[in-house]
Amino acid sequence: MKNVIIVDYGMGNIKSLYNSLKFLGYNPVFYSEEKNINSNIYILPGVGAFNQAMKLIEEKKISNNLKNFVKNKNNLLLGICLGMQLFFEESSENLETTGLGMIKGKVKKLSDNKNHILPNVGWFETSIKNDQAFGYLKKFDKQKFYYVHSYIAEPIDKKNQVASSLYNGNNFCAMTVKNSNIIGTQFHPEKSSEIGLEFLDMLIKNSIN
Amino acid sequence: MRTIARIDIKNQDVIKGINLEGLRKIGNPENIVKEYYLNGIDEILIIDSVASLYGRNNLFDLIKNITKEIFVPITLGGGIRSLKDIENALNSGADKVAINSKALEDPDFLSKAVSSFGESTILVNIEAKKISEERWEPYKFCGREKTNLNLIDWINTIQDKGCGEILLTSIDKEGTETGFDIDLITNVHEIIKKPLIVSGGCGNLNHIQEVKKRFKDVSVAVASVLHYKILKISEIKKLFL
Amino acid sequence: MSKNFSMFGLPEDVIFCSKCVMSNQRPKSVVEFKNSSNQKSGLTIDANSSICDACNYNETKKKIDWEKRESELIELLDKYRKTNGYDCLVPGSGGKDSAYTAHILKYKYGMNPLTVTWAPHSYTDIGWKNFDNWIKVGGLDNILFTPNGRVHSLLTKLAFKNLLHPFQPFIMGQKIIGPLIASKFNIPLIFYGENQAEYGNAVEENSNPKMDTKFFSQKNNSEIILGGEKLSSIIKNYDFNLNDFEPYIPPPLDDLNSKKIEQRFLGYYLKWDPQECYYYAAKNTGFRPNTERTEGSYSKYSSIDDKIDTFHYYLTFIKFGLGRASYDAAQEIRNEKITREEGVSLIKKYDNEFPKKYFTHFLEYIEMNEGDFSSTVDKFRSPHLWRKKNKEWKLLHQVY
Repeated sequence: MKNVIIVDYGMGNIKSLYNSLKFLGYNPVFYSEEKNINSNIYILPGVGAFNQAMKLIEEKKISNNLKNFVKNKNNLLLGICLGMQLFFEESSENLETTGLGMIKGKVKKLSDNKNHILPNVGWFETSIKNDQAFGYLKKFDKQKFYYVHSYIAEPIDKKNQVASSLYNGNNFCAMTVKNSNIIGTQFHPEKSSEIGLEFLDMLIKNSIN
Repeated sequence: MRTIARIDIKNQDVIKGINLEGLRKIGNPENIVKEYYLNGIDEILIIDSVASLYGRNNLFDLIKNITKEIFVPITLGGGIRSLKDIENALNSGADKVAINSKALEDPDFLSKAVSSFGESTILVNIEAKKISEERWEPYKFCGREKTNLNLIDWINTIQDKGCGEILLTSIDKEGTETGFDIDLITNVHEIIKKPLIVSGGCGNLNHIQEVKKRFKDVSVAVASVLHYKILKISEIKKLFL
Repeated sequence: MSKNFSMFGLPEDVIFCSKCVMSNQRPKSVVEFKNSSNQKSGLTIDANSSICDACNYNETKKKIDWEKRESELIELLDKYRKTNGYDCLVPGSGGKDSAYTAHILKYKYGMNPLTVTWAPHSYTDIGWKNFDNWIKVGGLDNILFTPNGRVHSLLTKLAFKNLLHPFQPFIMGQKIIGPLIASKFNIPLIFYGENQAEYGNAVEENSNPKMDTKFFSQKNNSEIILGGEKLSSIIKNYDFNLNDFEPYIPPPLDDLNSKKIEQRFLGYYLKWDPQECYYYAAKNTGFRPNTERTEGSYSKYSSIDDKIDTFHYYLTFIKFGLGRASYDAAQEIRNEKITREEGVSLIKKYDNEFPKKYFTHFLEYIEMNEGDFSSTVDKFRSPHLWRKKNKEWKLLHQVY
């Protein structure tokens, strides 16, 4: 049974993630609890504000561990929702905060238009780029996944954007990839029912060979 | 536009009332939640209908169990009165909590909840009763106690204090299967800045279509049509393809 | 007066049923127009099992062959059904019980009922709306009988002063109007909803589908007592004459017998669940529950059409230590909607709640000021139930 480490720094529905991984047959373990477990899969969840998350991550001295972890190309770091946004350089949420800086780009509010409803909540169609590297994700193109967010990440290099979704007619980054082992989804695969679970499973299986 | 199953629970049973009154038993909560999940429901809203009345929260075990096998967002409401209650709810596996009576008694609680747990975790549950033409009042304790507030003022307050979503239930229409309260939704829709879920009164597909036609971005929560097997979840979802 | 003296003839030792929340102080129904001394007998609680008659009956209810009872009903109805004219009478207010009774008799069993309503003292808005819907949405013919306001309020005042029972004129008229109208229209079959015996009158009464004639007929006018006073005295002391009391005088038994008029309980033939009556009425007769919970209880669907009604229950709390929440909870416990523990919790929360909403209205209705109201109420606090401590009245026996 494959170990998966959930980085529980204090924000995010780690229970859902735990349950979905267990359901898929993995052995999910919390980072805070099991320092001796080895795994080449880390998942960084997140629900809430960027600045608060970074504060907690710094306090718990997790950043360097994560940065070292991804140096090894056989390790997979998967970020979900806010977790994905933390990979980027900075965010303007509440106050300008520096992120983990693993991917070039910034995190900003989905819209400044007062007439637009935020957070963006619901099941939205997600377009997956036609990319050889992610051929196994093709079947998920145009499928609906569950989103709940007010901020989005904007990777500077388009190569880092692998999927997108729409908000009031505008595209935003739904999935990001860097160096093939840093992957993030804006949507919540662990909350996207069977299709989400399948996605999560395939992502993990195909990324750690 | 989401289709959400609203599941009211008393002790060990799913119940369904009319106008938020009555405790008619529908069935076992775990079985019902699982059934709706397998049939493709977008989200599940679980309300402990007597938590406030008896001053207790006892659905955490249910949430723990269902979240082992159900992977759509789950909101838990009913008797959420402290930050500890929210923490317990989230620790048992809920993604969001719905707050009603406590917010009415202490609106600042919403700000505290949002800053502790994140905006998207906090949903405000409003039970609205029509008191005169074009005027509605939010009620406390599952439609049992007046607040003498004006609904519009209340919505402005909660949007100001902070919340992720608003669930608006029409007490007058709830359980009657005669359609959503279009007047109520119309009144509220103009000032709403958060994702809105409307609940109360759905009896057939036309009712849902009417909401979809008139209001952009509004989600629906339904109960009677699912509990009494009047509609299939697939039929409802087809409307939004 | 001994410390433990029981004012109304109820047992001095207060015992609560171990299954529901009722106590042995719950009074059995009396013949109201013979009620002069307020003496009552209470709900029987078995000494060994601590279970009350109502709960015991509830158990037997589960074993009744309801299919057989329904065929008895159909057989009975087949005998009375008319294609031309009213074949039965349903007295009621359009509340959940009468709404269910009248509607199901007409639309499921094909009868042609005439409904008759003995007006509440003062209609609440929701009460009037439900009554109106009963007729117009439910689809029934109705005669609304409103008694002379001056007489009615006088009787209410006397009943309050003499018996602490302001609801008496309503209860009396409610039992009489059915046979009164039935007699005038020659309708021999009258249907009530449930038998009060379900709540703790003599258990044997439950095996009888008919109401005892003593509740709605009499042999001798001169014996009639209203509001705790002899009818003859009332006529002498106030500016009324015998004519003014027409609706309070039960029809002579001979008259009813010659027309073969009898009152039956639908609850004998169909398994009664008051909450299910609510659902039925909500679906079929446009019944809506109260806008907020009724004072003295947690419930919204029971007894909501009369502004005086909350005082009826507040005063049962004074006289017997049992308020509205106790009554509502006992019923819901027996029908397995709530547990006893929950019932106790609700009683703790609501039973002693003072009905503020219509207090001013009530005082005006009975022409009393607040001071006289309180002193009258205090006169009826039986020593075996109440003690005054530091200027506050304390109920000595609670279910919790």
